[in-house]
Amino acid sequence: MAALRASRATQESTQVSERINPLTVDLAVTLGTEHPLRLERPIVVASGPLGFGNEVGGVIDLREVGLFVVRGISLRPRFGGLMPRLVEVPGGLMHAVNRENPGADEVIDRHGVSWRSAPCAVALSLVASSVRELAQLIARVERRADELGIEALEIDLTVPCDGLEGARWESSADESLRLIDTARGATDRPLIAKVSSEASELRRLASESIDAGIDALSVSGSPRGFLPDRARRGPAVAAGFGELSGPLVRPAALAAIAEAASGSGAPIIGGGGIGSPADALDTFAAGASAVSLGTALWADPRLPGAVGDSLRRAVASRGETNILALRGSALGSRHE
Amino acid sequence: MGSTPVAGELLAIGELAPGRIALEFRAPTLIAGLRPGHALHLVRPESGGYRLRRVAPVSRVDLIRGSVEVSLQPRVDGGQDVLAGLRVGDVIELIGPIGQPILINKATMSLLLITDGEGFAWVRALADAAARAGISVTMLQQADTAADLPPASLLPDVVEIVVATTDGSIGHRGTVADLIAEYVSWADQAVVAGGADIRAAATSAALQRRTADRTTASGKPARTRTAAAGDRAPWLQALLAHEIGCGIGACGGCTVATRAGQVRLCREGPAVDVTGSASNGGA
Repeated sequence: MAALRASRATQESTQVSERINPLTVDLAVTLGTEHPLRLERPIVVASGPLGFGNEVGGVIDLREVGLFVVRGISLRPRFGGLMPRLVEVPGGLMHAVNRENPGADEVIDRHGVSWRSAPCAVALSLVASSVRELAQLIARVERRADELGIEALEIDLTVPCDGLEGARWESSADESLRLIDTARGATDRPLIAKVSSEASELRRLASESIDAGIDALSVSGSPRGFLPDRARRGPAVAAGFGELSGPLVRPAALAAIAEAASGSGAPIIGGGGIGSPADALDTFAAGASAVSLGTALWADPRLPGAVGDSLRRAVASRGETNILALRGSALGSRHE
Repeated sequence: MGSTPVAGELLAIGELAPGRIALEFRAPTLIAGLRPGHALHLVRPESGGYRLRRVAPVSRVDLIRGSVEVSLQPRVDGGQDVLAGLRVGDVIELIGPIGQPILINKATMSLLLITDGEGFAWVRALADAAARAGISVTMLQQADTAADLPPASLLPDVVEIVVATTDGSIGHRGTVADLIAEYVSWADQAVVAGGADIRAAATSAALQRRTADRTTASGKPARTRTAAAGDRAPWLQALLAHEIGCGIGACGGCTVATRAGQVRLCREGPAVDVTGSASNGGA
């Protein structure tokens, strides 16, 4: 018995010595190589739910965040459409805000100061319906980007494209790549392309967009939704079609993340329905290098901190010290 | 977010009208700042931990019980609302106040409230407060049938209730649009809360009233009542409801366009001046 006790004590002593302190885990990630974007934490606040910048102050602790993506901006003002714009649906919500914004210049004037003082990286999400419009928008933004501390630009491929008769850019990989080419030619800043789980030819888009100069693919956009109103006399949101967020989109989002990650090796920012640290871990397991948080932040502003803590513990429990140890852990066959 | 969440214990479940669930929460630290027109955000985790901030208008505040009554708004999907499954004794997070109070001018002595089943919860607290302040209150209520009306006992006895039902089962057969004109010259102020049809009717009446105020039969400017210093509320305010949102004016989900600029219902609303504004469909 004494020998057994001694053996157990030795085993426990060994385990303790190999245990990693979660606080020593390095959460920093670098997305892309040509124009690398370093995030101190692999946690992104998605474009939209928390506004343009000024509104965020005092709401969430941006020190827990790696990248804040400003709500979408366009060259000219965009109107958000009629009410209702936001309704609850089974398992989440549907929104139809149409990337409403007062135009790039006014957004920069009103909110630029908050970006410069943010304790995390800041990216602008760019909304354009044509290649020409995007080129003009980037030129406009680039004039003041350094002064305002804008570290990256996100190209939103989930908005309508004039050349596709109003369908989303992401519905055509060719059109998406054309837009990305234009963006790359217009800036040396790190570029993120945002798509949803509905993106066409996602594996090809992921692979070729990296070749075209994208530094990360954000598979976090909202897929479209439609719901009649209670009387079934019209749509639930005035715009007709809306965009979906919340738990109902999560399985499809994870499938898209896994597809994009496994086929291309592209750095993926994964999102869609993440409402808990466990959801964030699933997203890394599906192949993401960073997670994007959205509407869950409305009711849970401490989520970024909780996700960070959970990531540290998960990495440490594997005996690792780098966040990338979690990436893609669920990809591949269980029968291998 | 916006305000610190407060734990609210559910004290009672009731109905303001058939199918219009009202929840009374004990939340003594929250109620002191609540005024008519305010809403709360109710937060209850769904499966998987995801949480939404659901807008619920404050329909009554009980300072003695330290409680606030809010009304659940019907969900557009018609599904089982996670909040409707609450039981007495459950505790959820309450955030508020959301929005701005309804403005009642100091000189106002007569107040017209125009509502339907959807809007009643938004103006019940105002009817209580106005009656307590000695203001004469008339509420025009619209419903399809008598069974859809809120009980008269929910309002102070001094509030005059005038009813219009589509089927004529009680009160005027028709809509409140047929009745508003009778009260326009009587009321110092009016508030409308409910569906698009009654908002349109109230707005039309307000615009006609303004035109009548500006001119007389002789074409000379009309004399209008003297407003007290500091009075700034328009004659008609429309309360525009929304279901969910960020609560900090960031997401754009509750923004309505007006001639005076954009109004975020969760910050500057829910009361909107629809006569001085170009509504984008909220009204």
